[in-house]
Amino acid sequence: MKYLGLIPILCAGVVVFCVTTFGIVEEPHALAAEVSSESPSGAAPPVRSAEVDPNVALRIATEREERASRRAFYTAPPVIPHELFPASAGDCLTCHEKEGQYFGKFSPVTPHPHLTNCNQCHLPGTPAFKEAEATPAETRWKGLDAPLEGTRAHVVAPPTMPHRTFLRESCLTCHSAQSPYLSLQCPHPERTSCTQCHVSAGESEFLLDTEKALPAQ
Amino acid sequence: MTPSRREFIRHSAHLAALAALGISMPEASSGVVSLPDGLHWQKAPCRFCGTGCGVMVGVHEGRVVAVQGDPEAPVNKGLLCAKGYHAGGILYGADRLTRPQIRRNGELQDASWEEAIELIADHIMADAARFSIYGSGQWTIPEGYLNLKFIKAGLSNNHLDPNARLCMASAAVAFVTTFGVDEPSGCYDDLDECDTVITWGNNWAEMHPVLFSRFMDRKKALPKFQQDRMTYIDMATRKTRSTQSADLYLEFVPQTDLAIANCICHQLLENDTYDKDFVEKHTRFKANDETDMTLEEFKAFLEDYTPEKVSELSGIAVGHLKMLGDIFGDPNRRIVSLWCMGVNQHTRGTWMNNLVYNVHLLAGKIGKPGSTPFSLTGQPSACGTAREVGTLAHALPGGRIVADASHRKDCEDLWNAVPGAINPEPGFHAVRMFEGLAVGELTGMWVQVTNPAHSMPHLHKNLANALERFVVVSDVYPTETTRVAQVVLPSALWVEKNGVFGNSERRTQQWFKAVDPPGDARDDVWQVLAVARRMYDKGFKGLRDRNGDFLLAIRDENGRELEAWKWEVFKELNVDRILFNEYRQLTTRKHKDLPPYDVLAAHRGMRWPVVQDKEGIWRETPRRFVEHEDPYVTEGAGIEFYGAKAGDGRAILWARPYEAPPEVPDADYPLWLCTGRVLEHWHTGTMTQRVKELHNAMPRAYVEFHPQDARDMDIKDGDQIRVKSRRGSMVLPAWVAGRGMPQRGMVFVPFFDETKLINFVTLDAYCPMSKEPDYKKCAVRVEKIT
Repeated sequence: MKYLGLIPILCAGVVVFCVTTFGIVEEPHALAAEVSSESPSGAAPPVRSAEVDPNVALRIATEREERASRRAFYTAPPVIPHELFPASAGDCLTCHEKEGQYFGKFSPVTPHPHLTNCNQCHLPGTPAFKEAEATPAETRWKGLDAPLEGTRAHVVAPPTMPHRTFLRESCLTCHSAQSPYLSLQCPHPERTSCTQCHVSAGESEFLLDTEKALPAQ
Repeated sequence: MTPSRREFIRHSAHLAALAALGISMPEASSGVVSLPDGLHWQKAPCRFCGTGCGVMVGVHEGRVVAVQGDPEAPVNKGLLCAKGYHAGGILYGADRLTRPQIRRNGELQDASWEEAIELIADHIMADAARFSIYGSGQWTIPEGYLNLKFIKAGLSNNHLDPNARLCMASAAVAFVTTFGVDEPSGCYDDLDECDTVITWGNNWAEMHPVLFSRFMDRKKALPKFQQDRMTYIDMATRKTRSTQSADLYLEFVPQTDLAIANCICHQLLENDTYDKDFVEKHTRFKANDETDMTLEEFKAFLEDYTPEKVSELSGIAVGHLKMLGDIFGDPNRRIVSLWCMGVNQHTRGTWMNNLVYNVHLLAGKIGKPGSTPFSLTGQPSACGTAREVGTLAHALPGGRIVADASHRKDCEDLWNAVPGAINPEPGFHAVRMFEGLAVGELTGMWVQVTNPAHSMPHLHKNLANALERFVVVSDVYPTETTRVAQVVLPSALWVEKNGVFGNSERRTQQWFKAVDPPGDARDDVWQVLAVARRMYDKGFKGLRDRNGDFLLAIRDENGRELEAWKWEVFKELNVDRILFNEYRQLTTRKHKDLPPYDVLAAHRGMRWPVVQDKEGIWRETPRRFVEHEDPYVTEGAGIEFYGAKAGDGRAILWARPYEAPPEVPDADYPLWLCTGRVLEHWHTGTMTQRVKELHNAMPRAYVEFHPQDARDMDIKDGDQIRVKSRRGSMVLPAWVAGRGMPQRGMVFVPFFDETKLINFVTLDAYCPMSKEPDYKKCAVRVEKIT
């Protein structure tokens, strides 16, 4: 206990080390490395808002918006962001069985390879039948926003996953080092056992305490 | 650590950074660090099809903000389809009906509930015998039950029928003729146990996708060399998304499914591969005229259905027909047959259902894990409400019929209705109802939770003069039907009210209200109570019970009447609980026992019969008629079809012949027209067309061609095509081999699109037994509009 008072100092030291060693301001994970304003010890580590590179913030915000535009709400299956060939409805795995570059774009691996009826959940983002004259649906729907990021127990702790892993069993679908979304890229792709360090806050913190949904018999 | 503080700091950092660049924050990023406080989840069955998936509805600040598959739901195990995930969006279309409307000087104008209730009550009282209620397989069980009680005991009139007449009637009549009692013996678990699935004119990849993937994902999870052990055979008249996953596609000439089923039976008897023990113990044979037949006579009836002859008629190769015979004759194969509208919407829909049962009964492939004929349903409570409650022109709750005095007495006693209140004469079935409305035999109609001016066949005929009658429409959006209404009542939708649905596998599922309905919209149950009470207050005798009290009184547990016809009182009550617990007392006569409401509330649906065991635990029944699963089967019987009318526990094999369809393509109208659905939209699209993602994916209807036909007629994608029958025409853009591919000489049109009503073209010929129209076959010609 007598060393407890050193923790804030150590934390601050680590931040300085990170910033200097990894050049965090150019690094897309700057925000992910940001520390909480409150630490378990009660002493407030510095909030590094001044260090957020505006370009990085913009990039993250833009990427978030683009990803959110493909879902009606957080956890909704995303619509398909590219054109489809009508006859290939069952052939999504041609490109999505493994990640790769197809037609000049990054193609992520399916996060749930055991589910094979892709079009059951994933709608084309533009009509497959192009000749249809479409007027947009007028709606007042406002879907649930995605949580921004996971939490850390302390400044150097690995962040938790801010979402459930149900139907997202493959982390690399979104967090591949090849992902076009810099804010999602895994900074250490050589490590393959993601859940060794990153636990899901989603299961307990966010979603579906399903027993609560039922009254006692 | 409070999210709000973190959120604030995080947010400030973003804003400061962006402000430095002179950029305002994109909207999506003004979000949250964690999910919002107060977000809660509650269970409900999906609003759409008869699969009955369990969903978790996410509610925040009085609005639905998300919908997830319920991982604990036995039907879907966490998975949904595109419609289900987006079900929350159906509540928030910009043009939700939020005020009652009354037609004045030809225009619908806003009105008060008071005016609307008064007007409806006066009209019904003026001509109660010629008033009708056209309801729905989307009615919740309490909604259907209250409407039935209102019209059958209150108005002493049986002009009550649901839109389920257009989709499930053939299935229901066939269950009753074959097994003596409605609804399937098998369940979805059979999809986990079978090795073979055969679909009869059914596109389950789009219409029941969760069941499709339940089988298909299991198959594809096997190592490649073992996948052949699981077989999917698609028999259809049109290639669909289901076909893409089929091991074999067998295309037949429309209507020849009757002959194909008989051909399989012929081979089972001819090759001596039928299940002799099963047939001996559990079946009997009847001719079409209801006279008994011996097995030998039945065999003689089938003599014409050799693979060679049926091949000529159906277009399926002799070898493939023989293969079907062999598959059903293989005692080790576990086969699930699935069908939906292809078999039901058929001028011989009842026969065709009977014939699928014949095949499975002869092969002994029923009542065993993984072997069952299984009738899929299209609406969330076609089974629970239309069929079990019995919101049909001839029916009463729990498998009763109006024609039977003891059945009427059961209901009159429970309801404390005056003896004789229920009329023994069946009312008009749906098609007859609209004919009656057109010619004035009916003067009024209350349409609830459905859209007949879009979904009835042959619309020119069936909707003629509707504007001159007193049509009341309870709905959530403007529809084709509200256009012909005199009064439009804004309703609560799905989780804006309490509800109970019954799905295809006899599973009854309850949910609680999660959010308030918008504006002045109110529950359909309340609407009926309010009108009935107004009539009672005005002295309408039919709504008095034996003591002179209000027939539809909602009473608390001490028997004290609650003023539920007042909205302020109603919205604080759970009237569903009271109605359901009353209704369940009528469910035991045919062993369709339902548990108390509170037990249902604590489960993710239960499959009836639900019976309390010795320890007092309510047990559901996975497979009906099967010993050790169904408590009503006699000990030692193994399988017992205890619903049999003869009381012998035997199912009936009916000798149903092939019969040609009433309209076939000819020189003037050389093409078949088949209508149907698409994955994105549900039925007439009133809900799903208001969801951005669903609408964007499939904004408009089209006419689909076989590529060779299109080439012959010089038709390309996007050409405007007039599809014309003897009844009417509709102009649609062409899609050549699009989502599906009809057989040569056939065009396909989905019916969801209210701007392209294909039902002006369809035929209103129907099955003489079930009165269900055939939307799948009529003769048309197409003209390219230049």
